[in-house]
Amino acid sequence: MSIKVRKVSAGGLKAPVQGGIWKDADPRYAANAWVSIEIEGNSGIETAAVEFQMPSLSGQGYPSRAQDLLKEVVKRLVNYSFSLNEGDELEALIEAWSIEAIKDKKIFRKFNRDGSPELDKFLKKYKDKIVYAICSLIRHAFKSRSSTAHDDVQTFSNVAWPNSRFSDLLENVLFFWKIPELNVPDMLGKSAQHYSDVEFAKPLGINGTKGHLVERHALSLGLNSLRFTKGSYVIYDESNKKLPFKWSRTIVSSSMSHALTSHKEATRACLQRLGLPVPEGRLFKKDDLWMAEQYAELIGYPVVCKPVAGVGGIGVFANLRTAKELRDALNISQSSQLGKQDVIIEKHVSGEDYRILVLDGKVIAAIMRLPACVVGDGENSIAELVLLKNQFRKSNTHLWRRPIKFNDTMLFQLDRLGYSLESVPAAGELVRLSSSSNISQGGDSISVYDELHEDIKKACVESVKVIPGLNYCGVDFLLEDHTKPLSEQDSGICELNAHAAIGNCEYPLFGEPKEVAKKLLISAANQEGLNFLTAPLDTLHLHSTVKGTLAKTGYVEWVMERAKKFGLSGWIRQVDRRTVEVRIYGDLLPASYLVTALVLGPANAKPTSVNTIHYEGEKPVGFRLLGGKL
Amino acid sequence: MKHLYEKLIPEKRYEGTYADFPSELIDGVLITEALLKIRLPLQLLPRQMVVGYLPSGPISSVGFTHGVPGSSSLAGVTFLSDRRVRRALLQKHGMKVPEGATFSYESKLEVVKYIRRIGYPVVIKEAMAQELGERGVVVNNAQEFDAVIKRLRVVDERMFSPQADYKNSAYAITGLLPTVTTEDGIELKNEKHRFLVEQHVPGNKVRLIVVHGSVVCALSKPENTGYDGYNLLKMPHRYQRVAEKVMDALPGVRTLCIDIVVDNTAGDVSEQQCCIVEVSERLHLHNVLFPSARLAKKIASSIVENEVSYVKFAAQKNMAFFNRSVTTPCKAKGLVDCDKFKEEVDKFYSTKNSGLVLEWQASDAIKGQMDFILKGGTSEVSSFLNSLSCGHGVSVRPMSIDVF
Repeated sequence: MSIKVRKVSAGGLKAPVQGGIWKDADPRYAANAWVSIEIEGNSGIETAAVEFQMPSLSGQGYPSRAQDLLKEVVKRLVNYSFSLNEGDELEALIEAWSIEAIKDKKIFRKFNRDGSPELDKFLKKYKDKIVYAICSLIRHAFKSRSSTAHDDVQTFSNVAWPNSRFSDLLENVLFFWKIPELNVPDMLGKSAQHYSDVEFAKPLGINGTKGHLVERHALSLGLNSLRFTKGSYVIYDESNKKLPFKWSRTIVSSSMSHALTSHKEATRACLQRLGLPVPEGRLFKKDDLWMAEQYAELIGYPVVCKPVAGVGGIGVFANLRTAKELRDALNISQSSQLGKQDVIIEKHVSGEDYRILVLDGKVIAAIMRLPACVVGDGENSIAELVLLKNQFRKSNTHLWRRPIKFNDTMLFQLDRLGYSLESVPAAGELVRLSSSSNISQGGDSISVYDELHEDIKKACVESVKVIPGLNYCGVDFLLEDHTKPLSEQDSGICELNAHAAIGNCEYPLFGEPKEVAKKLLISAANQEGLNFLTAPLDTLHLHSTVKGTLAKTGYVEWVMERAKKFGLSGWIRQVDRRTVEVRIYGDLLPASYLVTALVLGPANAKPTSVNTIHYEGEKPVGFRLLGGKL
Repeated sequence: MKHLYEKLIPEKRYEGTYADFPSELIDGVLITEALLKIRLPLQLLPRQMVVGYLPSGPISSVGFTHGVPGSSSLAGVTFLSDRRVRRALLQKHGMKVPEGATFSYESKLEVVKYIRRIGYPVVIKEAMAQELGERGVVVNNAQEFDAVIKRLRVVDERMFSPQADYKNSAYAITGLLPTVTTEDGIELKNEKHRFLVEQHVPGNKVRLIVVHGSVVCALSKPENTGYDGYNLLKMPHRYQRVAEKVMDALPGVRTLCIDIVVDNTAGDVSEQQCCIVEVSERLHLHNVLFPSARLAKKIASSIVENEVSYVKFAAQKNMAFFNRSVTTPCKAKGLVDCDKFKEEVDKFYSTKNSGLVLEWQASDAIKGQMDFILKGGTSEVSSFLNSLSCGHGVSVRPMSIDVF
């Protein structure tokens, strides 16, 4: 007798669930991972599942090395035929897969004297647990059709996700895979993008690219950097001419431009004065919200409701079609982080939301921002599709920490569509999960620069010109069709943003990425007269001096581990209790990412500044610790 | 006689115009006045923003926020607000700053250990300046420290009041850390919110007003005299070297107000002989206005002159220092309630005895627009327009006032 694994679905949780994840099992045990398989055997198609708890260093969360290992092992399950008399050989087989997977993924932290990798204490624990869980699962698929509990590994038959658990569990899901992996469907004929530098960006955490991209290009153009935080740094040249950056707050735009553009009503007043297309709307004091409904009746539904000085799409509700929807949206908006602000009610412009970047009077990039959405495949529920979409977002360097969020806004939107999280949309059906198209809130980014109509570009440039000192700007344009002139469609500029995020257009989810950070840097450098290379460097040789609380915090080990993982060579030296020097040699991407990460370090370390300059000298081999640790 | 005296002595006259004005608004009022003198069409917007539209030239408009010129870069003012980064940059450039460090509300033990090391008195400030003109509180002992931290952590409801429009920095970083509500209903800043603890530096306090790289005014703050204002110091150029070093460390800002502590105020001062305690892009011209209205207005005119790069145009318009009469047709837009606006403006106008003439013109209640004409001295017109735009004395505010 043999069984063949046809499909695998597996996932992990941020926090373990007492008594099991999908099934209420033995309450003495907690689980934070599950693997379910669809098998083809003599009695037809059946399913089996295992739930287990992965140990972690902190006792919380799910270690990323364990995730990598589990994925590699479950990938190998698919299409593999197991025979009944596999016996002890099953352990040997899964063990062999694990070892092979570890080698591939370079997740070793420990090495023997001869340089060969060795399993460290935790990696061994992860591997042993995975081998045990998978073996239990396969054995269960053969021998038992009833639920069993063994140690902290529990196996089940004929599993189906119980609908009632969705709302409790979804926010807890850390990762979710289906194997064979489902293809991400194209959007507007643009294919899904996968980026190679996502692993380098991970030590930077959320907003990593926002604070890194300019520094990467600066280093490649031979400039130096002085960094204080993940978002605050100064780029300088050999003659000490400086460019300060705080996220995308730069010297190319004026203070006034931000003051003005961050006040949406003031922006509207300015744009209206020059006859530019802005939706009809008005500001309401937070004490006068009862008037908002009357006003919405006056200008006609649908309307948009948003906080006056919004950020990151928080509290924005679009396409509100009735007084009740407006009332509900106002209630949710008032309880959001920006709920104390006054509220704008404006006419909803039908069409999609676009972020068009203008630099020095030219449009340099454009993306369409679709609200968080999934495309149905006729098989998976909306909840599963969201988890899979979030998995895809994790492969995007800019969005890997910005998943679609399960929140009241999503439930509100699904309710309007007559769906629930358990609904299974038809194949090809686009289901919008939010009315806000902000990418930080789970929206899709689709690069559309190449097809953007000249008429739209012209309106963007003109609107930016209206604001004094605005030279870098994200124009938020509502358009029915970005390939048509404005005269042939309903349109409206709904916002200008003087410090538009840089990463959106550099890392779109769909379509061709556009260079923004480099152009922004060069514009700023030219403005201040900095000297920089005309031909960018592909390989960097850098010397960084890190200051701060570093001794006895694990900082040196943290840097060494990442340098090795990134394939960089060089050395690290602890000069005194508050100073560490790092020499880095390697390719532009890993080297520049590591330089940015130096200001972070492990949890206990508190670096306060990192000064990085170019170094010309002998190229180091391997990555070493020089001297001792203080 | 008294009336004539007050008319002839500018300081007295401006005392009348600005006496009941919030100090936060003075810089913007003086800038608006300078813009009115050169007769640029203006648009007054929330947050005390004013845009001047140029008739032609390489740029089409100039703008100011709370009197800060638009040519000051966004990154520049952001680095000034971020006190930790600002201190680090000044130190990297060899300037002395008070010994200090930032802490979050959750790091109680660390801050106690730190203060034990540097000793009282210390100065407590927000790590990220949000409010205009806020300068820090001197703390002399542990009890005072606890009280100040407790007070500082409470979310200031004024941040969301109508006055927030001109009390808060318009280009401040928006804090998104969720607040915490105590059992007794008090809303507190997130425990990760940071504050700065600095050693209090004894010595003579000097304030430098720097415009486009030049020290245009130096003021001393007399201690223990009961006088809350500043005195003008002669020969402000003595501090030029200090200003240049600060500007070099903190690029991209056209106007700076630098507070330093020096051992003595006589003779030249180098960057080694002073300690930089605060730097702001806001000039706080209310501190100059009362010792010298003439100088305050000269500074505002010079900022406008520098900003209006269309130099020929500016020169033709004869930028006089003192009042000229202007007649300005205005259009208030985005009014929630036109009738109430008129009623409140009339009431506010009746309290002013400044020789200003207000004439109402057409109104359009559906569009929320009202036209009116102001006739009077530029100081009076400027202060009146800023009052209406910022909601000082009137509660119904227009979203913009176009001045033609």
